[in-house]
Amino acid sequence: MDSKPIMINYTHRQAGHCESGATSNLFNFYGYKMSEPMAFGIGTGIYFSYLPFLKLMFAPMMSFRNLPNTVFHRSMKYLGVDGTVIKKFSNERESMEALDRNLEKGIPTGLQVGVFNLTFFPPEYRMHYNMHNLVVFGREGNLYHVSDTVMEHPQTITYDDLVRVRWAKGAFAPKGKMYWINSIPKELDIRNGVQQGIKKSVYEMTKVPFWLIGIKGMRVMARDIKKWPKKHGNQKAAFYLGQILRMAEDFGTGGAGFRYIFGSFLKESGETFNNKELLEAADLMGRTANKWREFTYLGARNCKNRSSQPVEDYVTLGDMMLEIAGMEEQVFKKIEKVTV
Amino acid sequence: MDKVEKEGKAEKEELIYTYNRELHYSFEPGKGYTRKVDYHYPGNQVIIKQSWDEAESRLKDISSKIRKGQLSPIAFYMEKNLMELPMLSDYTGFMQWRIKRHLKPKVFSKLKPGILSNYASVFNIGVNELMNPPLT
Repeated sequence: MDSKPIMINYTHRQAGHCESGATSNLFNFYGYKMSEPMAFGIGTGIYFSYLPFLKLMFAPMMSFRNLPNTVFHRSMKYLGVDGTVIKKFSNERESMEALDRNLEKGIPTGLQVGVFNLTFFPPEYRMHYNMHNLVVFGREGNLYHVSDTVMEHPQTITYDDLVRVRWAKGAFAPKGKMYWINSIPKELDIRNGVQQGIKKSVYEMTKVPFWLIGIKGMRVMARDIKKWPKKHGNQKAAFYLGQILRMAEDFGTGGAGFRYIFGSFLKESGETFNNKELLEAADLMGRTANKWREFTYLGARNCKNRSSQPVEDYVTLGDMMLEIAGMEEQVFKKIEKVTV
Repeated sequence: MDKVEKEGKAEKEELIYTYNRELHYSFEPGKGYTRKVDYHYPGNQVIIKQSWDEAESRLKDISSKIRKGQLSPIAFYMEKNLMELPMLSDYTGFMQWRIKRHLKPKVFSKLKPGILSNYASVFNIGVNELMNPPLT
C-alpha cells in the first residue's frame, strides 16, 4: 500500500441536505457555481411517502426525501453532465480500491453511507439510517478526509470505519455505492434542467397512482394520526408521533427543512428566469414549510407530556396535517403549468 | 400560535445537544428565505431526546429480563446497537429463527466459540464482553 498522502483541493460547504449538498459541492469543484437549492430542485429531492406497514426504528415508516442517489443522478441527467454511479460492489476490498483509484486521479468521490458507525457524527444522530451521503477528498495513510455537509468542518475517518459505514446493512443498504462527476460541459442548460426537475417533482407529489405517495400519502397519514391514541394507547401514539417529528426535523434539516430548500429553489429559478408564478409558488412553499415547523412544535409539546394528554390534540395535529397537504397541493398545482 | 413560540423561547437555555452546529433554512413572509448555522431548536432536541429515552427504557427492560434468566446477553447488545431481528440476521448471516433461539439463555450458554465471536465482531466488542454485558 503506498502511503503518499493525497489531498484534493475541495471546498467543504455546509448544507441542509446531505445529498444535494454533496452534489452542489461537486459542481463547485468543477468550476460551476451551483447552489444547494438548485441541485435539490433539479434533482427532485422533494418527496413524501408514508408506509405504515413498514417499521423503521419500531414505528411506521415515512420518507420526506427521494430514494438515495436520486438527486445526484437526476441532476446529472437533466443537465447533461457526465457523471458515473457505481451502484454496488461485490466485496469490501474492491469498493475501497475503486475509491483509492479515484483519489489518485484527483476525483472527489461521493459515497452513500450508513450513519450508525460514522465516528465523527453527533452521537445523538447515530441510528441505523443508511441514506446519508458524504464526499471523500483525500487520504493520508490509514485516514480518509471526508466532507460531510451536516458537519461544520471537514472530518477524517479511518479505513476500517469507512468500510463499516459503506457496508452498513439493513433497509437501503449502501453496498459500497459511490458516484462522481467526470466532466462538465462549458454551457449548462439550466433552463431545461429546472423545467424537467419541476415536471418530475409535480408528477411525484401529485400524480403517482398510489395512495401513499405524495400529497395523497400525507392525507392518509393525517387520518391515521387521529386514530393512533384510540388504536395504540397514549404511550405508543406519542412514540409514533415522535417518529414523524424526528423524520420531519432530524437528520440534517429533515423533511420540513426540505420544504424550505425546495422553496429556495423555486425562488432562485424564479429570479433567474424572471418568472412571476415561480416566485409566488416560492412564497407559498415557504409558508407551507413554516406550517410544518408549527406542526412539529405542537407535536413536540405533545410528546413532552405524554402520559396525560387529551385525545383532541391528535385531532388538532391531524387537521393541521390536512391543511399542510392542501397547501402543498396548491404549490404543485401552481407550478404544474409553468414554462420557464 | 403565539403560545407555542413563547414556549420555544422559554426553553432556549435547555439545549441538550451542542456537539455540532448545522445549516438551517428558514422563511419569513415578506422577507424571504434565509440560511443560518446554529444548533437544533430546543423543540427538536426534545424530540431527539425522546427517542433516546425510549431506547434506554427498552434497554432497562431487557436488562431486568436477563437478570431473571429470561433472555441471553445477545438481546442486550441487539438493543444497545438499536438492531432489529432482520438487521442482525443480515449482519451475522444467521437465519432469524436461529437468532431467536440464541436469545434463550439455555441455548446461549452452549454456543460454540465461532458463533460467539461472530456476534462479538458484529457488535464491535470482545467475546468476554459479550458474555458479561454491562446491564443497566
